[in-house]
Amino acid sequence: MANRKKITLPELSPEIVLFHILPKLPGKSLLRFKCVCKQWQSFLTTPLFANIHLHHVTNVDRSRHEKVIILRNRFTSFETIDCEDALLCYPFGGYNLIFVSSVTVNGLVCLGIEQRNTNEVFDFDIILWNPLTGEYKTLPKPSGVYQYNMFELYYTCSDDDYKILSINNHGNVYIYSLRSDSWRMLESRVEDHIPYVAAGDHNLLDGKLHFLRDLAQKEGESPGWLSRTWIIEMWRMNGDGGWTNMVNISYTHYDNRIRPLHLMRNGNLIMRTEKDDCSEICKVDPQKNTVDVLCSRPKMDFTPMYIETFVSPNQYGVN
Amino acid sequence: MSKKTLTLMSKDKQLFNIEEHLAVQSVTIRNMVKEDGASSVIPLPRVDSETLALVIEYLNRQQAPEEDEDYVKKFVDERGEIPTLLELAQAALDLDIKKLMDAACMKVADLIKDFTLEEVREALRIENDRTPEEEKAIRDEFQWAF
Repeated sequence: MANRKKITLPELSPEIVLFHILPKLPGKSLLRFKCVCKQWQSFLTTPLFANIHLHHVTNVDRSRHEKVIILRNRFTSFETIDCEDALLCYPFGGYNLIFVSSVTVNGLVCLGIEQRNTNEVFDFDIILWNPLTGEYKTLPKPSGVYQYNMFELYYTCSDDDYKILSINNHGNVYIYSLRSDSWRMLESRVEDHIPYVAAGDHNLLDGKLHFLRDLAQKEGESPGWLSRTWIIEMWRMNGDGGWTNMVNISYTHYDNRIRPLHLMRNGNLIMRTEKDDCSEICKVDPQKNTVDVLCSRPKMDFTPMYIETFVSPNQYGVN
Repeated sequence: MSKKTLTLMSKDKQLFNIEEHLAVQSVTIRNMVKEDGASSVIPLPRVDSETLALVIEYLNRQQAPEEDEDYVKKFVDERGEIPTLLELAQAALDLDIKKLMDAACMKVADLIKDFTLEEVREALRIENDRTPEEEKAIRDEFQWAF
């Protein structure tokens, strides 16, 4: 009976549990813990909780929550790898994927999903999706943009809005705003600023989209697997349309087919490598000089980094 | 120059002395001292003596700022029992000692993340008000998490 006193203590306030313990739990535990009691289930689905949890995973504890999400277009399934535990999970399945933005923002992913209408005419839907909660929103499509164009998701703090930037093959730039649930076209074309931008050569750094422009390619050299000198310019897209040249890099590189994804807190590295027809996600231990293959798949198409959040794609309530 | 000392009184009426400049790491105590000079005893009617002794041990730490983060983690790690951690977290919330509260809550979260539903309810003193049907609906929706 030694513990009796502790168990019956009345002083534990809901504030401690709801505001200070729950937001520190991993997303997967929280999905399970919706079953604990009614109060938890309703609290875990509020925008308030989504915000507190998001603040924790992005500002306080990001490295513990980072995952690689593996999305393949012909195999209609999704998997995630927890970067700290180096464990594979199989949460989802059942879509036919066309494209995915190379970055995920606050746990949201922008996807293109194949849609076949009754006449067998190929069409696609743009989806904003939270893989953790399964919530999604089908977005409108701008005219003049096709499924093979680039779609990149980003977030702007100044107006608390999620946006998607799309560039079509004429270099026209379209920006979607989740708040207004609509697209608009920018006056200036991207090629006036950064010609030869290739899909895949961009990333989200400090909340802003950065594009790489390869000058060697411009000069007509073919990008081969052998060593060659890369001349890279990095451009930042400011807010809604201005461009700033950030960095110019010139370096010699042997292989562009290895990509670091996450540096683990124990010093190990999660990375992606390509071998003939398959892609592998590996854990590399530089101390023991070992490589563990976490998963090997016939050509993975998309492996953006991802964090699990409760952010709702339907939070602004526009339909 | 002698340092000013404050006296704190726990729920079970035990008295603890602590130097004022250390005690005011608690925002709650700092405000009390500002308001009335706190020459007399400061009562803490929600904190028991065992927990208050821990809080005072924490406030008395002599740590360089750059080592402080590690110290707080180690401090809560060594008190790995959930009931103790919960009381420590609650006292740190009442006394407004943010670092200690965050570290204690983080430790609780780490300990319960793989618990079964029943273990979570027991650890956090929560009554099960779900019907089996309601529970099943959630299990079905988020099968991969179970």
